[in-house]
Amino acid sequence: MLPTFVIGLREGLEASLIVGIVAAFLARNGRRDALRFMWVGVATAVVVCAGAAVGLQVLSADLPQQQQEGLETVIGAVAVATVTYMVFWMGSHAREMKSRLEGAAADSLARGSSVALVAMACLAVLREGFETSVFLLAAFQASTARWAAGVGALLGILVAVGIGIGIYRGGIRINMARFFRVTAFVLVLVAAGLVMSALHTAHEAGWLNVGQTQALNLSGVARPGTVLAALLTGVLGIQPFPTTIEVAGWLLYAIPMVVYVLRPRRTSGGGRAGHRAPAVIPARAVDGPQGTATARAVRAARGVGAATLALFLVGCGSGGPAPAGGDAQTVRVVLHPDGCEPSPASVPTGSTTFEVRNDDASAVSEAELQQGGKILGEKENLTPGLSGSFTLRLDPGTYQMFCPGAATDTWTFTVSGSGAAGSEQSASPAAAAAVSGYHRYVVDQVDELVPATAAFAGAVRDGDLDMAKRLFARARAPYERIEPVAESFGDLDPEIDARIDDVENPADWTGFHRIEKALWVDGSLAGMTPIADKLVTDVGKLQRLVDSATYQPAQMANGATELLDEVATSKVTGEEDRYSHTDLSDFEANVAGARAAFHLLQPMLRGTDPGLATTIEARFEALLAALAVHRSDPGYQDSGFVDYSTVTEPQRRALSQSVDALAEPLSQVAAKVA
Amino acid sequence: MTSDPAEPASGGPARVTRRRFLGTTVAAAGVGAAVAVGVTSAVGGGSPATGEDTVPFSGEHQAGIATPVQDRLAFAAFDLTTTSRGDLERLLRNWTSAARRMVVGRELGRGEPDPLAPPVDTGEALGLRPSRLTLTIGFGPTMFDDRFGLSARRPVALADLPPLPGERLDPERSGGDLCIQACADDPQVAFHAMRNLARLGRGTVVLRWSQLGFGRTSTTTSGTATPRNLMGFKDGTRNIRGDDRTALDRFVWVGDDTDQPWMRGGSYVVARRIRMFIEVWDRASLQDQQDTIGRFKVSGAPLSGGREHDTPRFGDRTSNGPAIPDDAHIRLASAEENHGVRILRRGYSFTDGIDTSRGELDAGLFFIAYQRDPRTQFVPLQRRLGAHDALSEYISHTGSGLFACPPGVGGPDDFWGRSLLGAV
Repeated sequence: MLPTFVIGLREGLEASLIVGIVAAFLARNGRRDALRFMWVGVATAVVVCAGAAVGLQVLSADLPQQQQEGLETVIGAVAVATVTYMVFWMGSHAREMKSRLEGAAADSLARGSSVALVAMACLAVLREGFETSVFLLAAFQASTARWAAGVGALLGILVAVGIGIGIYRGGIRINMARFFRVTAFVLVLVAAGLVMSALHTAHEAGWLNVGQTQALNLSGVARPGTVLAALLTGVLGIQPFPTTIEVAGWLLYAIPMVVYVLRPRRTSGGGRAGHRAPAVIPARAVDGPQGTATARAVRAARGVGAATLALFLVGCGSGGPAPAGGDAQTVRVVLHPDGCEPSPASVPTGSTTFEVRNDDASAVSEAELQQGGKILGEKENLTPGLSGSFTLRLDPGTYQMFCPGAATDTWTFTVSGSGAAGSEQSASPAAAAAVSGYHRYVVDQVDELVPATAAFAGAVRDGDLDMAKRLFARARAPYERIEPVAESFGDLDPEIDARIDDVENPADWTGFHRIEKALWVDGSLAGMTPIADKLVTDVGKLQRLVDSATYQPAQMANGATELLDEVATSKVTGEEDRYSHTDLSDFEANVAGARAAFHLLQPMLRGTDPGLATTIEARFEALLAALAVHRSDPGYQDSGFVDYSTVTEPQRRALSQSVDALAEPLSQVAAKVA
Repeated sequence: MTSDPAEPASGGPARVTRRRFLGTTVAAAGVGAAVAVGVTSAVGGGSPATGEDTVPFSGEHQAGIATPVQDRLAFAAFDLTTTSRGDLERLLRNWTSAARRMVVGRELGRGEPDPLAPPVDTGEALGLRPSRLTLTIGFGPTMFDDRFGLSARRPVALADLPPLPGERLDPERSGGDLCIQACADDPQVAFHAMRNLARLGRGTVVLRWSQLGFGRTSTTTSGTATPRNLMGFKDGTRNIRGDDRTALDRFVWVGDDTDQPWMRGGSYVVARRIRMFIEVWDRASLQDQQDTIGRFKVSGAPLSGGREHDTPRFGDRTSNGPAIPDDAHIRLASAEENHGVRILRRGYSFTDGIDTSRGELDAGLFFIAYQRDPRTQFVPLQRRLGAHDALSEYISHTGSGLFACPPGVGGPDDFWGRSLLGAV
């Protein structure tokens, strides 16, 4: 009963998550109407899988004893292969599962085909379902009490669906990483048992006759009829009198697999591995309070002092001279084909100058000091013979010296000591919740951005002008919600979102607006494929960077104000989307991003200035109401709004004044939550 | 007003020098009794007294009406975006307390500034003198609609201005629920005050229109030289003087006879943005210009002869007809020709750069007039002027505002409009 329960639970939960991700994606894109197509696909998959399972079972029952044993061997082998594949696949692909599914769903939506959506949902569930049926079937056959096994499987699936719904609704929070790890461990043991059973049935089918001497007598350990024996045989499939070949097979399978499943996850590099699982969770689901993101946020909030905050506030991009006063220290970095080892590799906290030199490394021309993927300082374009420096005020912690192109491109750099005086702040639980919530929000937005951009880029590559135009506004929205975060990553924002007047040389202009001009002004996508490819790459970079980015409450508040400043200076004027006139969807996205940050800060603000919190909330409402006047469904170019060029001057003025009315009190928040 | 605690450094050598310089120029121009008094004390006494460049904020009437006209203007009309009477009262309280600080040259906000918060005061007036800053508030007719339950308190004198001849009003430069007139001798001080009140009001009011005036065109002070408007003529020679209590009570301050007791001691302001067709005017002959106005351009004396302040003799005739033509501006605007009606003028010259559609200077007179009842003062005057004034050929009224200015505020707890919002 237990093995089938675990199988049902795990596979069922995976399937629920897949359905949840697709459903959340559809809901977020205002396509609840397409939900029924998804359900058709899911139902089809369930029927097909159940049919396959029943068919195999019936087939096996009709066969003579020996062939029956042969079929059981085959099914057992397939089941072992399936579970092995699954464990490996989840280990390496879970992170992208969400964006891949969303990309596929976006693609289906974009092609306007309900059949495609049905097929997509069906295939996604079918894969899980087929695994489940084969695996369950094998477990059934290895089991002694088939009705109990059936009940176990059913219970497992029911619990899984329940958890899936709970996660989708946001009510249940579980640590997905731990869940998948524990179930993977149990599954490996079950599969190892299946290896043993398969070898046993293979012998009975007359296919395997070597190594049939009895290797162990486990009946002493677990006398038949005892609980332990039931566990051994029932759960783990271990025979009481295993033969040599069976023991060898069990050990050969189980040992490497258990090592793989239980291997320690990388903790350096921003703990990306630990963060894998939460990324597969749909929309509002989150990992538990003990989740890695929260823990890291708390750590980060404790470790990052005022100096780093100041760096964040100025955008983190450049390594300008650090304020005088600290003990200046120098770290030498020589660019070499093998790497860029900082010397010394560890310094005490304080103002630090990095002298970067390139003697003769032609493949390496750049050194960046990063923390968690965020560039804190850098020196670029150092071709052989050149040198340069940048200075930073560094707080204690672990940093990475990164030099793309070198054989070893990442080197650890450590800053020791206690934080700058007065800059240590023990983060309150409310602050920790705010920053971890914001981290999640940003990750979610980028996870939405990636497939939307991919779909847009696909249409651009296909030369499909109409489709690309209709995908443009929607692809931009998630970016606009988190633009201040994107802006903190050096050149990434200009490369994704620069307007023609932001670039020094128009020939270097890339990103959304370059394609926007091609779509609306040139009316031709000729030459846009490289731009589309680069856009997809840059958005992918952003996805990796935000995964390990850290935030401060004051930074979030300033980011929210910056979003409104964006609205005031470029959306209201119609400069942002000057060719497409889809400014209003960017407008809304900026406001939504500001509001998300504000909502996360609200619990902190309620403690320090409840009146301000109330005022801001009311003005958000007022601004959204002013914006709602211009809503339209599906709207101009599917943007959800009217063409901005049809919005009159007085209407623009009213929008602008609502933005100012909100931004004024919002600008007071940073000081209240710092 | 006494010394300003927010400016402990006042009286430093640089400031004395600056004041001396200002004093010399102003004294040489022979303008402004109040300023001249200030100059005397600064130059003569040597001690940097601080009292003479602040105008008392509280009093029976609002400052900025009978106050000697300052050099610069920043005027703004606002629309209320709230419908809550509580918000309106909060706004007026906040504005009043900010105004009290600004008119004595103190910055907004107290205590150490928080580096993570935007500064409370926008800062451009730091280190500047109070510069006789006055802030005057007015309530437009639209404030008395049904939003705030004030319709029963709308004075009959605050009737919407009827369409008048000679106007081509731009709705975006007209009307408004509220107005603030900021006058000061330093343009930056005036702008700072207007800007900070607008900022304080964000979320409750939005700016509807605003106008900067770079030079005064009227005087309300006896015995001082009359300033010139952009036509090059002395303007406001026969204006009501700020010390002429009889005329003020008769023509400017709302008296006991009002239908709305909350307006007692207040006044009504009419603001008109009068665009001058500068290019056309500049090519008119001197004689045409003088006949249009009814005065000699250089001396300011009426065409009937004598000196500037001599009463024009409208009956005088020459061989070509009346010495002061029938359609001359000073004749049609005079009390004699208008059943004795007078208004207190406080206008400023303005320019908003160029009129892009014509490539001509967009400049003129921002006309501000205070009176006790526009229905019997401004409206009949303008009706007559707009229809017959020779000047109409050279001007056009492009913006218009009418506001009821409540009486002055008293002690620390009092605020602008308390008499209006008080016991309804």
